[in-house]
This record gives sequence, structure tokens and C-alpha cells, in this order.
Amino acid sequence: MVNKEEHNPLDEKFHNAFSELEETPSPEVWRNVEIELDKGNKKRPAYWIWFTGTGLLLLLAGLGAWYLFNTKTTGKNAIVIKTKSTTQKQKTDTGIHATNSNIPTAASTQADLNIKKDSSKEILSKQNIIAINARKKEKHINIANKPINKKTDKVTKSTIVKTISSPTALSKDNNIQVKEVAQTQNNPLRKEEETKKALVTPTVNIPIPASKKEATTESTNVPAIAANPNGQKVRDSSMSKVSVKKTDSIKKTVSNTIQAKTDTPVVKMKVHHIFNIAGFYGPQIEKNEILSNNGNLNLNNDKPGTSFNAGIKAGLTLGSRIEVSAGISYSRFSLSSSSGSKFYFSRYLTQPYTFSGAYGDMVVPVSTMDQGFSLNAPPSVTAFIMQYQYSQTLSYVNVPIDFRLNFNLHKFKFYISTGVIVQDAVTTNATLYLIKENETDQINYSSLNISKLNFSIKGSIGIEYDITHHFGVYLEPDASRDITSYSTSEVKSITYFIGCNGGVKLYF
Amino acid sequence: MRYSKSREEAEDLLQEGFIKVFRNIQHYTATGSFEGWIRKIMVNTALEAIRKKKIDYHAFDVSDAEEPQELFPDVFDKIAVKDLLRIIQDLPIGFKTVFNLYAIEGYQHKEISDMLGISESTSRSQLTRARQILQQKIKNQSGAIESLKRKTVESGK
Repeated sequence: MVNKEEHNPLDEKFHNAFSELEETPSPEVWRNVEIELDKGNKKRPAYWIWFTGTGLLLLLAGLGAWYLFNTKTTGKNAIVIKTKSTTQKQKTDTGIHATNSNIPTAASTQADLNIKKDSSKEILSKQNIIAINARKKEKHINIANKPINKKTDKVTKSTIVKTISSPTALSKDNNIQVKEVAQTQNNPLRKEEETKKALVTPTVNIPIPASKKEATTESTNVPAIAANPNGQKVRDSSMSKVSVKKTDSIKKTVSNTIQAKTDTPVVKMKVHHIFNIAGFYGPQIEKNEILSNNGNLNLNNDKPGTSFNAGIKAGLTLGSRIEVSAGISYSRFSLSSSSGSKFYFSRYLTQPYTFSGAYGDMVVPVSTMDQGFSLNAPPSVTAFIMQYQYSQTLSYVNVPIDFRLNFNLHKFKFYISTGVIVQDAVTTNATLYLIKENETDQINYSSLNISKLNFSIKGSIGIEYDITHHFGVYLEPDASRDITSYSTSEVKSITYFIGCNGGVKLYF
Repeated sequence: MRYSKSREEAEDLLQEGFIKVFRNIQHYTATGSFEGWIRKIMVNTALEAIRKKKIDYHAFDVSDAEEPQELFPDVFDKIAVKDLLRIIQDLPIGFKTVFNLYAIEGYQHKEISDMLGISESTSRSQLTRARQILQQKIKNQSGAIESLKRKTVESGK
């Protein structure tokens, strides 16, 4: 189509001359087109795997967070009470008897409250967390019957747990212990605590005969040592709390129900550590994919070299299942070309020639490119032919920030984690070997243009085994990809890393 | 080939262009000719490569350029198409690009200015300067051919 805007005979002559010009490209062009299209077809599913994987990880993390923040057990320090409950159904299992007090039996109390066993566990946990706040450093708490001392009751800031046992209740099969929250009328802290408790615990008014009023309300008069009919002290095998409150008609606040035990006198409470430090090391494999072809020559045929990642990180437990960690690590990546490939470049090169690689560009000056070629070659020679080989080695100091979700809280923990990695390139080494076709002399060039700061996203699954309370080991396969390009040029590429870190972890 | 310096460079562009064609074939809407669609992709591929070279199109402005005088038709006819192609290839890249887009592809200066990110006046001055150089080279080429012919005839005698 001849341009009509500004007609010129010269334009028309050129237009007509070239309209019938035909040139047949070399067969190599079509072969390369086929190769590139095959590559593209094979690589495409990889994107879906990445996007799907990342989406699933985020979904799981979100669901985990939602689950955690919506559970009723919100112990700040994630104190979990492990109890061995029995399946005894006898009424006396849950009965409350007081020798010198007229507290009604727990059988009737339970009937009044209509407390189900399952829900009682939850309340039990909540109340126990409050009750043991003063002793939260203890791993195991043995609850034994102790006499109540009036003086100490009054000065104790934390909840004082008093045990009231009944010989009746402590019969052979019915070792029941009731922990009564001692009431200290003159203690303002105690009053405040009771007010709070009244808001969260079921309150039942249980009439007590007037003749027994004094005995029940004056808790100091109640022998707190549990004894069976034989006069032996008996350790508690169940837990409950009863708050006794003095009113005109005596009100009794039952803040918890009763869990019976038959044989284990110990209530184990596992305290999750909130802080940990880990050291890790692992190999990594890199794969780079150049998406756009803006460089003079894209180095797509690289093969990964020896790459690894090692570092330390500190973690903080948020809730029982989520952990946030940050640390510092050192990683070293290397790659090289798999073979020398032939390429052409213009004899009349005016701009530096750019080789675009996985970790950055190698921009070779014209004088280096022309080195070894005769510029007095016949005019028919418009391009020079060379082979190239290259290697690149980079080291980074990284700051990984991870969010981890534990699927369970056993000795063997399974988890997933996701996070970002901030990478700072500390050393960059690149060597490009340019070899004239059919010759052995080579031109070496060493300079790599690479962005100093990079960001990557990471996802991983892992397994951890806690050998002791303070020491664990873990194995964590991971995959990551860059968010920002390693290259400073306009070449668009994606760099993937697949690795597997193993490490040790110390809990505090 | 008109956009490149050499056959090898042209083949690289052709390869890149055809990869784009095959990868984007689903986007062809059949509203225009298929040949025109492929041509557009090829031209855009060539322009992408040229853009990377960051050419200074402002080396000449309109005031520097004068329209060349018209050539005698027989001068142009003496030169083979392949020689014309080489003449175009040897043009500085800015002139070559604007001349190709305007004279051969038929784009308007407004379109060229949008494609190359230059002003319309720059596009015009590049075109004028390209024409001047081409005319001069054609004259030289034609003179060389005439001279060669004369020598051949004389040596034949």
C-alpha cells in the first residue's frame, strides 16, 4: 500500500520493488520455532501448579487462622490440660459431699445444673487456666488435699484452691475431690475475681439448712483434708471448683463440673513454649524461565549448579498452632550453560551485545565482541559467528519471614508454612566465554548486571519431631519464586527454587 | 529484512514473530486479513527489537532536511532489488525504520509517531533525510553500474 499522505516517486518505486521480493528463510528458523513452541507448551502447566499450590496454601492458612481465632479456649499461654477421664457413669462419680458442711451432693448438683460431660471439659479447662496462672511455670501439678489456713487464705492474691472431700464421696470407686475457691470476704482482689467469674460460670442457688450455715460459709472451719472412712488422706483424682458465697440465703456458685478419675492422681498440664530458635541447612535447585526476548541473546539453556541455603531463625508462637518466625540465612546459587551454542551477531554492531541470563545480564562491549574478527572481511560478510559458554555464581544474605500452621500438637508435628524472603546480593560472579566458530581461542568476559535487592515468596510443608521439651528436629521441603526480577534489564523471567531444609530447634 | 542489518538478524526476528503468531493465534478475530495480522505482528516484533537499541531520533529536525530532487526513472530501474535492499539495510536505523513504516508499510506520520514514541515532525524529518540518503546511494550505485558496463564493453572490444 503506497502512502497517500505525502506521495513521493521514490517511495513508490521502493514500495513496488519490495512488493514482489521474496526471500526464503533457512530451515533452521522453522526448526527453532517448533522447539520454542514445544517448550512453551510444556511449561504452561507449571504456572497452574504454582498458582494452585499458592492458593491452597493461603486457603489452608486462612482456614487455620479462622479456626484458631474462633475457638472458645483462648488461654494466652496455650496451657493444655491433659486429664485421664474415665467413663464411669455412677452418680457418685460426680457427687460432692462435705463432712462438716451441708453442701448438697454433687449428684444433685449435677442434676440441677444439667451439666453434660463434654461441655464440662471445656469449662474445666478455662477455670483451670485461671486457677493455675500463678503456677504456670510448672509442667505438672499434683493437686493434693491441703488444710486451709485462714491467714494464708486472706493474703493469697491468686485463687486459693481448697479441697473439700467427703468420706462418702471418697469411697473405693468414688474418689472425688472438689476444689473450692476459698472465699475471703475482706479481700478486694478476691471479690473482683468472683465478679468476673460470675459472668462466665453458671450460678446455682442451692439452699442450705440454716443450722449448717456457719459451717458452710466459714470455710476455715471445714476440715479440708480429704479423708476416706478409714481416716486416710486421699489424693484427688478429679477436678472441680465450687465457689461458695455468703448471702442471706446461702448461694453457692458452682463454677465447674466434676471429672472423675479412677487411678491417676496427677493432672498433667503441658505448657507450650512461646519462643524458639532454629538452625537449618539444605540444598536448593534453581530453574529459570525467560519470558520475553528483549535481550540480544537469551541464555535459556542453563543447568543448575551446586546451590544451598543455611541460616538461623527465631520463632514466636501465637496461639497453639500458629508460629511466626524471622531469621537470617546465607544462600549460594550457581549455574552454567549446558553446552556451547552457536549464535550470529552483526559485523556492524554499534551497541553493546546483551546476553540475558537467569541471574542477570552480561552486556558485552562492541570492541570485545569484535575481538579476534577481521574487520577487513569482504563486504558480503555481514555477520560473525561465535559459540558461547557461561557460568554464574551468586551469594545472597536473606531475611526469611514465615508464617507456620501446625496441623497437630503431638511430638510429631505436621505443618505448612508460607512467607516472603528478602534477598540482598552480596557477591556476583559471572564468566562468559566467547569462542569463534571452528577455533579454540576464547574471549572471556566477566561482569554481571543484577539487582541488589530481591523479593521472593515461599511455601513449604514440614514435619517436626520434639525429642525433648526443649529440643526438636525438623525437615521442610520448600518451593519459592522471585517476585522481583534478578535481572536489571527489561528481560522478564521467573526464577524458581526447590529446596529441602533440615534443622534443629530449641524451645524456651 | 528491511528492518534489520543482516539476514541472520532478520531470521531471528522472523523466528520471534512466528512464535508470537502461533502463541496468539487464538486472538485473531478474523475481522481483517490474516496476512495483515501476521504482517502487523512481524512489524511490531521488529520495532520491539529496534526500541531496545534506544535510538536518538532527534539527531535531525525538519529545518535540516530538504526534499531530494526526483530521480530519472531509468536510474532506478538499473538497480536490482537485492541491491536496493542492501541500500535500505545500510541506512541508519532511525531513517530506515521511519522509511520502511511510511513508504513500504503505508503508515501515516501520526501512527509512526505513536509506534516509535516520537513526534510527527521528527518522523517527517527522518523520512526526508532517509530519502536524501537513498537517492544519493542510488545515484552512486547507478554510476558504478554504468562504469562497470562501460569497462566491460571496452574490454570486449
